[in-house]
Amino acid sequence: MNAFHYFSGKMLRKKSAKYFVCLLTVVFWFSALYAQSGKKPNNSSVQLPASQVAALQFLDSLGHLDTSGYWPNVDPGLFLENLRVFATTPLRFYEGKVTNFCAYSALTYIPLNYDPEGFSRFMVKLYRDGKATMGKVNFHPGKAVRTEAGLIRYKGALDISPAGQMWFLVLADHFKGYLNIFNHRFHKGDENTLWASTNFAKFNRMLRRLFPFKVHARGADIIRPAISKNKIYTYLREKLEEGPVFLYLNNRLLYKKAHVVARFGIPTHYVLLMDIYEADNGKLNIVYWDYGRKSLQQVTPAFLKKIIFGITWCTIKKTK
Amino acid sequence: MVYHQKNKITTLALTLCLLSLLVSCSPTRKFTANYYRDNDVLLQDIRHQYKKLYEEKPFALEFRDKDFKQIGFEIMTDSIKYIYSFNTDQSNLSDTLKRYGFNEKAFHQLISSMRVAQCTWISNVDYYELRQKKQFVFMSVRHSDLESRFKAEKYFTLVFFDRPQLFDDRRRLLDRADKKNLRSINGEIFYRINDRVCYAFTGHFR
Repeated sequence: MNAFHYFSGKMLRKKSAKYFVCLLTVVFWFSALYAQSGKKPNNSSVQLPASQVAALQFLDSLGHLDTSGYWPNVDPGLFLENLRVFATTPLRFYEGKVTNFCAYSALTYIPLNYDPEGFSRFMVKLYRDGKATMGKVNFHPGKAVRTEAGLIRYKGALDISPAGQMWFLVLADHFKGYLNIFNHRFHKGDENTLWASTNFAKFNRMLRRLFPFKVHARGADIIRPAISKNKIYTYLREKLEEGPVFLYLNNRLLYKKAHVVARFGIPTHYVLLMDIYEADNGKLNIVYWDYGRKSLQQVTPAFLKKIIFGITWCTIKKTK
Repeated sequence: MVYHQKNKITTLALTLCLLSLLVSCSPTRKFTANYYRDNDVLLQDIRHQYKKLYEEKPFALEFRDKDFKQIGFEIMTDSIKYIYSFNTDQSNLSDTLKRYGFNEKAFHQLISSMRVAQCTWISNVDYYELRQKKQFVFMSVRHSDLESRFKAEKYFTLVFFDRPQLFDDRRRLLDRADKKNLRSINGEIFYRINDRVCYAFTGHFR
């Protein structure tokens, strides 16, 4: 071996050692990163609000759930996974395609946003015991509803959300309004029918009885609130400052097509109003939440007045 | 004799009325077969154009008027859906397309193709099979043959799957997972055109 080979060999060994150390560092770094990404979301890996962390800690503390005899078609693993998703991404809560669950979905914003832990505890108790209490309401759902939860299909992401199905069915089974008179008892497929529908008074009653908020409302099922188109922006803006605002509106007009001859002026849909602001062109930008997503749409004040039939806003109750 | 003749005329008139009522209430099979056969290439072309653009940025597109000049344009991001309304010749449509990084030429091509096919709505729809998320292209067509002064609006809705589907002996779309239940889409039963495309006449366009 000549000098050149000796030195080059030594250099190579030194270089190899360096490369080896670098490689080891990179492998270690990647494995640490991989191990972190593989973990379930918890309070240490993601910066979450304290209320969401508390919900996740509660759900993690359960370990696993046994299959409930009360909810034979709800898979316990998927149920817990659903609750984790509800707690961490409340705005992805989804009412399902072509169902009449929009009112129940809209009001779910309150527990998921303000008390995800309380909601998780309620759902787990409901799953284990077949009954549970929220606010002033004792839920004790009937067998037909309990059997159906987990079986609702062809509704998009609601298909894989047995926890969401349970919650919707329990609410629709318990709360009744005049729209439910002719279809009072649940039968298969009733998630699309009048059984699940919600009139404005029922919606406000649900909010009052379920959550510790003071609930204010203006409007009615067929009469629009008397707020002029010039004042509607200021009015809604003010209410948004006070707390969550729900709108009861004519969804068919919102998705209006000009080649349609006649439209009945009745409200059909509940949304959570998240923001409203004036655009440069004199129109209003409204941000609302429905179908598991926020939407931003520009409308004229006159159009907004035309589609709104009910405005509900919630404020925190003042205790003595 | 006169009484019997009167009775016959009344029965005949009633039968004719009933028949015309039935015919006016149900869109004909002929329309389905003819329309799809005549527009097969165009409809598949629209689907491919849409899917290509959708891969770059998820969106849904609709025509809002009879003249196919005004469009509704929904752009989906992870956190929010932006709903826009434009006239197709407006400059701010181009500005918006540029802002979101759409291929402007391809987008205008899609608009033209949809106009030719009288397609009022196109979107990608999620569905679940054995808890796995899948998608199909949903298209609705508003055709003059489906219009009537006395009937509610009707759309010829088409669903394009990526892989062959199952149908029962009455040509109704079945759930691929359990092979027994009818798979409803937006609450409607869909019928076979070919093994990947099916249709329904619906009262809503989306």
